[in-house]
Amino acid sequence: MFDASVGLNHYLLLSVLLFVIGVAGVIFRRNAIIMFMSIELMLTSVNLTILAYSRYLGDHTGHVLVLFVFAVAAAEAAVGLAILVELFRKRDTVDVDRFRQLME
Amino acid sequence: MEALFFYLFGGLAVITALVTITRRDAVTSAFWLIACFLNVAALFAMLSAQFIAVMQILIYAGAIMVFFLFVTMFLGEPRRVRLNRGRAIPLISTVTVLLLAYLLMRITNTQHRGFPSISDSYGSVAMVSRKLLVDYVFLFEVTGLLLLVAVIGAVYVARKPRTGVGEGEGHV
Repeated sequence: MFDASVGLNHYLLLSVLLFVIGVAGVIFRRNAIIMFMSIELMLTSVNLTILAYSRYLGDHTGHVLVLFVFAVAAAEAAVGLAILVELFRKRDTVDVDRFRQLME
Repeated sequence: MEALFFYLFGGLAVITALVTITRRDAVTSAFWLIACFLNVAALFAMLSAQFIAVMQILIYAGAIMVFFLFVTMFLGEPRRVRLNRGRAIPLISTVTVLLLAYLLMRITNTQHRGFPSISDSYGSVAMVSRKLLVDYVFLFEVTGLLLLVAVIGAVYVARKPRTGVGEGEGHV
């Protein structure tokens, strides 16, 4: 595992660490903005896995997939933060435990 | 040499990610996350994905995180948010540790897999864009449509609430 040369397993290990940190950020925190940022961190760690496998297989398809993940992450951030702004206008907080209903 | 840079950038990425999720203030968090994304971009470059590394800096560390910072500063008032889920911490810590153990178990029971040697053009803009704009051009177009719909949806959801009759209705 800890050879001198860096291989696929090293990148997978790093990716797992970043992903679990992202998961911890989502389920431990109450601040909706930090939860969103943790989701972005998870997406980035998955991108790292995809690129490591792409490098391992010598294929470019993973690069294209990562570009699509970028686009979807941007769309998700735009819509999610817009919803958050609207919730903040109504409830005056970004604490997710205070959001219990969709309509009022 | 490569191993040295891997441990340097990888370690910094993990540390900055940990700092990101433990800050009370979302603005501080966002800056640490930008640092984390820059480290990950360096790792992308080490994987011979130069184009993706530049895109990671431009799109993630640039556009998306600026958007996060803008919204965070627009909302303000971080003191109202409690730091974490007090009573549920034992349960969710267990879940997190179990997830970590499961993922580690899945990746460590394999042989060491070194990277094969590749041509110099691997990861270049020409190679990636040929794949993107020839093989996957339909998905590329659909992604454009997705972004358009997302922009329209975001503007619709976050538009100014109507304050009076006629205002907002006619100007949206």
